[in-house]
Amino acid sequence: MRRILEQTRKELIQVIRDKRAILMALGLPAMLLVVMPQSISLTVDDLPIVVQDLDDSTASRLFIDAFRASITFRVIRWPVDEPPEAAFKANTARAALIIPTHFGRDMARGYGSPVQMLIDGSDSNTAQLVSGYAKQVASAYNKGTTGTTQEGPVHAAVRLWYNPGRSSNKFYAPGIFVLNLSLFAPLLASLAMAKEGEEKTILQVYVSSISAHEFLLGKILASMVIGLAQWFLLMIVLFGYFGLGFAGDPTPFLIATVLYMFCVAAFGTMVGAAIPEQASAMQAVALFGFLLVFLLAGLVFPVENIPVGVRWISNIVWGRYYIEIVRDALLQGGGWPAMWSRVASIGSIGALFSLLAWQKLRRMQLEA
Amino acid sequence: MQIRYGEIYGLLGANGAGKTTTIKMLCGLLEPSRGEMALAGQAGGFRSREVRQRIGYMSQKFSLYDDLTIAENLDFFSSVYGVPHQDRPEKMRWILSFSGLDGRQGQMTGSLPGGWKQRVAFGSAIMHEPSVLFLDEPTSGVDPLARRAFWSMINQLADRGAAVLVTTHYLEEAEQCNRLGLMVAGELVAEGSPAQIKAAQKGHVLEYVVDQPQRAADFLRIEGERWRVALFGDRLHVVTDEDALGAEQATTAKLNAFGIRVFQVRETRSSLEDVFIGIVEKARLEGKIGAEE
Repeated sequence: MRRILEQTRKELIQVIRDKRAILMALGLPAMLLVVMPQSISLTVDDLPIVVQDLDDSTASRLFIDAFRASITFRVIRWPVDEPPEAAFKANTARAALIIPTHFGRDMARGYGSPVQMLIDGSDSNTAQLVSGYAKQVASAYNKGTTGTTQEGPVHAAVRLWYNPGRSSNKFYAPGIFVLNLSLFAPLLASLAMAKEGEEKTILQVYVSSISAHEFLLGKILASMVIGLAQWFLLMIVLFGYFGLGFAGDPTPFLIATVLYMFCVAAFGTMVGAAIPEQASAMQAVALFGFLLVFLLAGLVFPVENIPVGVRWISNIVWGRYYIEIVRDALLQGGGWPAMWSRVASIGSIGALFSLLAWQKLRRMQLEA
Repeated sequence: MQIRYGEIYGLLGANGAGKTTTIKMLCGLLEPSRGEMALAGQAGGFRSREVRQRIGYMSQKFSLYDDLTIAENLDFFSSVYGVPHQDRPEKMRWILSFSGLDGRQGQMTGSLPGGWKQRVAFGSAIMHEPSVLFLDEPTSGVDPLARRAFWSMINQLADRGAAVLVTTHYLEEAEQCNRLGLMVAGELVAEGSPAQIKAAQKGHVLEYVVDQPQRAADFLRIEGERWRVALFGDRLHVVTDEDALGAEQATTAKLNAFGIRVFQVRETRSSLEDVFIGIVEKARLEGKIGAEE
């Protein structure tokens, strides 16, 4: 035990002395957490839309005002003699609304009048959202002018729970939080481990009387301390900046956090042990830690949307379980009954990583 | 090859002869390809904590942690080497005074000159008073004065009963060993005390002082066998098998005929360097190792 702690102490001294490492452990993650949720927001607001009003009547202007009033769209006037396609090509707008000449007359007569909505479909996700919002605006207009909307016998009363304002920050901030924790702590762990191999200090460790598990646990423990410091800082950002809070019993989250830090530290240490070269080890961690967690853990794309052929991979992506636990703790509040299996999964994956690292270093000798 | 407690065994050999590999196998860093080893009275289990507690190893490129201070390095290594807590301050003082770094323990290790680093490294490798000590070129990059301090340390350890295996390229250091082993291409080709090794060298060594030593050496190497000729500064050493006088006359005649003036010839006792160069060159002749040039 004493040897483990001595190893940890040494690792921590080295990290604290390394300004680059401190920046990577604390500065960068906090910055990314503030910036990234806003930049990957998938909702649409202030989207430029060009309007060609071929009718130019009171009714058509009222209809355009309905679009103007929505926070989703920003209306740009477009000359009637220019094709709306030019606006797409010049990137001035992502959608075009074209009102036909008889719009005002048809409305006054009580006929229905078609209006054309052209949407730039090159970004399919945004296109879909725009189409939905446009329909909503049109139906709101109908309601306002005719006083009725045709409704069938079934009326769906929709309520959004846990995130009633549909603030995408509340969804993405926890995701980026997990991404940061999955990337920087193991990155530092792999660097610290690979450096021993690269600078041959590991030879001296091999011949000393410290054993493989003491050496590894000492290193993992140090990375956990750094990871938890990072976690603490990021929690302050989540609570203070994004206004999140605990939705229910936080204990599964807290315990999962300690296990998750163990898991990612073991992952980094394992990679560093397998690749005793700092540059390559760093790339390996960045590739797996970042790509797997970013793509296959349900951080941006729901796990259910991943093609079946690769979906099984997400079962072994450690970040997936932690994301679910974090979202539960901050949004749903399901607590232990909902989360215990995920907490166990994180612990098991971490144990597997440390076992593999131990397997690699067990003999404490060079490979012939 | 056998090393007794209290003995300093010097392992010599050209670069790539297998000295470092031998040491790495002995201290358990490499799995031996074949053969038998026994260490500290045990034939196996070199990786056990008990055995490792008893061995000390200083690698060719001993690396302390550059981003730790001297004191932090010593602290860390004393803990992983299992030095008892109460002994540490005393060990630390001892290493600092031995390496001439008293009062500088707060200095970052990376900023030390190579020779000083080496001394701190040596100190930390022997902190746990190992009974078997492996030193792989401990004095490379160390100035002559410090080297002397190193050797007096090594001698002290041997006097206390440690078995020391040391590799070196400095042959005057090799003279201080109790026994020497000469390695060529992974094999031990000569073994014995420095005196025995020198005595085992057959023939005589003639030392020539000539006006163009380099040209004379090149000429004699082409004329006769390459391993017989070696250049020491401005002196030319020629090894002969026959009687010294006849060989001397023949060689002098050859040199004169080639237009080289011989100022002085005398027979000299073969030095370790003669033996070393002779053996390595002979091995090269037999095709065991590649040519230097």
